[in-house]
Amino acid sequence: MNAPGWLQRFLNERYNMEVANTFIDKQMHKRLPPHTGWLHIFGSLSLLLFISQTITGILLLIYYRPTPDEAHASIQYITGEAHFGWLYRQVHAWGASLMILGLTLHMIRTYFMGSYKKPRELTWMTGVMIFVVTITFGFTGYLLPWNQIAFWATTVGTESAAKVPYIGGWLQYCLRGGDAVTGETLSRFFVVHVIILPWVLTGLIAVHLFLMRATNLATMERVGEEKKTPEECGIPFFPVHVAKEGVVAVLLIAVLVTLSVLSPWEIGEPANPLSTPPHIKPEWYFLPSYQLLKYFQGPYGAFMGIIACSVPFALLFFWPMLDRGKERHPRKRPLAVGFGLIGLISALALGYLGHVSGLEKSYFGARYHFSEKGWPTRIADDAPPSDSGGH
Amino acid sequence: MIHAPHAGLRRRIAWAILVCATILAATRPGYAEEKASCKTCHTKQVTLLATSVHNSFNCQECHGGPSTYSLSPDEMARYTRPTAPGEVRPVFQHGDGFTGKAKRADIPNLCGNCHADVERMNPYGIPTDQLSAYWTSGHGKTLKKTGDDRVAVCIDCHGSHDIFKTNEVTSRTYPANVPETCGQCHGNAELMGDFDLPVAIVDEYRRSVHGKLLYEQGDLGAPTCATCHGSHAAAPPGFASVRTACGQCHQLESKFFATSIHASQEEHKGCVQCHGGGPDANYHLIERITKPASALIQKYKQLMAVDPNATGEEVAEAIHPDPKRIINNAIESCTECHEDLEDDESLPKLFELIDSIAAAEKKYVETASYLDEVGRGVLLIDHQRFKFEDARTHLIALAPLQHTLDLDKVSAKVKELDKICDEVDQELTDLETNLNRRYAALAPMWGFCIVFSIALYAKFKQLKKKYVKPLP
Amino acid sequence: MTQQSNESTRRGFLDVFIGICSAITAAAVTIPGLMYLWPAAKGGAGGEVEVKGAKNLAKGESEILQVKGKAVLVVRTSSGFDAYSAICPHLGCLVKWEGVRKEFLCPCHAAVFDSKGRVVSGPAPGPLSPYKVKEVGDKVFVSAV
Repeated sequence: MNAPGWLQRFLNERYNMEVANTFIDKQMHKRLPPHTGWLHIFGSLSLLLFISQTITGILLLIYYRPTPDEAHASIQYITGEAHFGWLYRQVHAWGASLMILGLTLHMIRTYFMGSYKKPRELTWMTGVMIFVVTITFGFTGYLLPWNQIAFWATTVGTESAAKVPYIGGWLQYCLRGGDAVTGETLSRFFVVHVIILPWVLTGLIAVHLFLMRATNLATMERVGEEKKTPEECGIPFFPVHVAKEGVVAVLLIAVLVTLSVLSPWEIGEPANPLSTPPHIKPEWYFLPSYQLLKYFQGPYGAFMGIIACSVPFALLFFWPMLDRGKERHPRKRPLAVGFGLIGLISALALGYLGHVSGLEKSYFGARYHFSEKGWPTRIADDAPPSDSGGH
Repeated sequence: MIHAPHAGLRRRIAWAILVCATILAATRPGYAEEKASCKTCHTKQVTLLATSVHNSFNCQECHGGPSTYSLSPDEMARYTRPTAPGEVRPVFQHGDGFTGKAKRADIPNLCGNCHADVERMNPYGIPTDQLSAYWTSGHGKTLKKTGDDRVAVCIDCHGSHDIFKTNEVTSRTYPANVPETCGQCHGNAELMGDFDLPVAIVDEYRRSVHGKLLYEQGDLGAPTCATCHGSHAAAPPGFASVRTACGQCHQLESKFFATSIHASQEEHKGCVQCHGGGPDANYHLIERITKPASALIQKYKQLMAVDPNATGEEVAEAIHPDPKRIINNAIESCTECHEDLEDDESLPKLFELIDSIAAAEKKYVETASYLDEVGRGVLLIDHQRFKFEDARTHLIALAPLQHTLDLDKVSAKVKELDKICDEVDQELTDLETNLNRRYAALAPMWGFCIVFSIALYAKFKQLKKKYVKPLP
Repeated sequence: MTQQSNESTRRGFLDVFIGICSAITAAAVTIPGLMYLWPAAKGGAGGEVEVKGAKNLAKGESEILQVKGKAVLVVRTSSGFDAYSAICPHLGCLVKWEGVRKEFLCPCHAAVFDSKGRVVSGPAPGPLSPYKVKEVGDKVFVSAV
């Protein structure tokens, strides 16, 4: 891992390389706590996906054209004409979902292992910001193929922005760049997706990694009572931990390619503002919020709905400030663990209800129709299959 | 501006004069006599006339008499005050030259005074043959022969005071309103009974392919009563010339039918023999026998949703249930000439023709839905879609071509269509096979990745052993 | 001693193997990327389509091609090239150019359009929509208006 001699000489003659070398050396070989296990890979998994997203994103950008007239055609071109274009589009689309999944698992690991506690509160908070930014990435990127499902999901998604109290109308107008989802919306989503968010996320990740390195990884010991382990018992980042990351990276590539081949994202019909397809649903990571919003109706319903959707994020962000207990081990902090489990289960339940709402599903040989709010009603066996049966 | 009558401006001037006159009359104290005009009593008619195409007319042009009357306040009150129930208003003497309401039988000539006058009509660019055409029509002839004034005269179709140009939606002769206008009489069972005419034809038209085009799709180009029967010279075209009437629009069908064996048979009723809605209809329930391509595809998809393993025959039946039904409807009239239909060799020939078209349609819808299915996925099939456009052209062209009743010609067209469908099918299959190669590539990729990751894992273990001391 | 050398041989083999695998992975990631960057044969996703055989067309001859997935007829006239949609506005059949009579004819229902795409006779409810033709040097391009 050393630079070639001529380059070293070149640099040494010009810069004080001692400082840089010491820093790089220290960071490269920094020792992680001995218990660092396989549960700790989700963070680096997300980082790998971020890199993959950046590369595939740049590649897609070469042929993509962000106008209503050309967006869909250019996606078709990428998929059908450009060599391996289909692969990059699929890896980018699947990578987005996997990245959010990776971040979620990383957060769950951090939460239940109490790693967010002092002195790592800021690491956690930047992490939550990374999560929110990544979701915004997903939302803005979803519109770019300019197909029916994207167009209408964005129309519905920006519709709920109007429910934010006081500034809702203004917010929606700004998001859409007008009264409806149009080419203006496409332009702004494009700019946000390919210019603004990448740099914001790069910055956040830099801070997150810096903070992580500054405090090193957490152990499961009580806050303030961590025992100093002998230096030589730690796992050196290079080459030991990197070898482990290599396993993750190789398997990740295999999974991404497999998903891309076996379950490709369809190009779909070009966006048609005059015809709404049935059963518009957002991406899976928006389903809990999507479903939660439905339960708030009436004059203050919209307001309460927005509050209900924002509170979990606010709680997540400020959680290290709220939970100041010294214990890290999950068995020793039943309250926090219980609270976390309830949150997790409700998110999963809401997400599932959001997934089935408005559709017909079969369970144990009986068919049920789920209302928009997710309540099932049994359908008689001889009833003809309705159009809402699948999607 | 000079020779074209500017209706709006004139109307405004007329109103201004009227208002001024009213104000003048009302503000002059002690004026013994009051001025009355037609409008004083006949408000409704004058108002209607003011919005009509004849808005520059005086009442006198049709009804004669003076335009204004001077009445004492007493007289004025007698003719204009509200009447008590049962009270009969005295008859107002309209003065010299007043002709009153024209008799129905006189109306054609009354309108003809102007409308048959070339000099008067020229500035408006209106033809002047309506009156003479009218006398050749069923309506005109009956009027002239029997004097029965229940036949249609000008005002029945055009209105009396509320006459509008044909291109105004309020006009009785606006295309979308024509069936209603004719239906006033031709849908009236009592009236038609007296003339021994069928009364169901208006309703048949509404249910016909043309009526649906007009009412359901709002297509103003759809033929209405007048398209086939003429307007002023309204008369049934008769079976001998029905092909000419239909052929105005259905040019190719007419041309191809002319080459068929039926065209030379005097007894054959032409188009309406098969398309007239069956033996019980009065030739106005015009139906199409083949369906448009889009409808075929829709039917096919419906069938596939219910029964994906349907047999070819079931597919043909589902996408195309109509020809046999309509032929069966018509079979009764076929027997007029084909006396012994059971042993007649024409019928199997006909069904062979129909079956070959149905088979072509089946082929078309199958390829079309295959295209749709592949197109929704990740493959780009622009080229195949483009190629398939030709198949669509052939399919649509089959509809007129079948009127030749010439199996060879139809088969040749069907073959062309089949060829394109086969080629497109093949190309799509090739594309999908290519796509499947991606699946095949997954296995070696996983093999490589697993071996690679095991090697990396071994390396990790090795390095850990080398660099990391176990915890004390 | 033998154990140690065994171990070092194994280590050496593992390193070489990992090196090869890494090289293969790097190639598998890079080569498709470079291929992707290489412009595909049919040109970009844009609307302008070159009329390949344009210069071989005699006056009064036509060629059919695809612009944004739609069939378009390019006709060589005495003054240059004209392009019209080949899709009949009646029922969507593909019309053909009749060079001798200088008109477009739809084979399905005999709709006839003149050389400017205007309806002459038949059931077509409207004219054939024109396409833009651009001549650049020896090449002729057609694009949607």
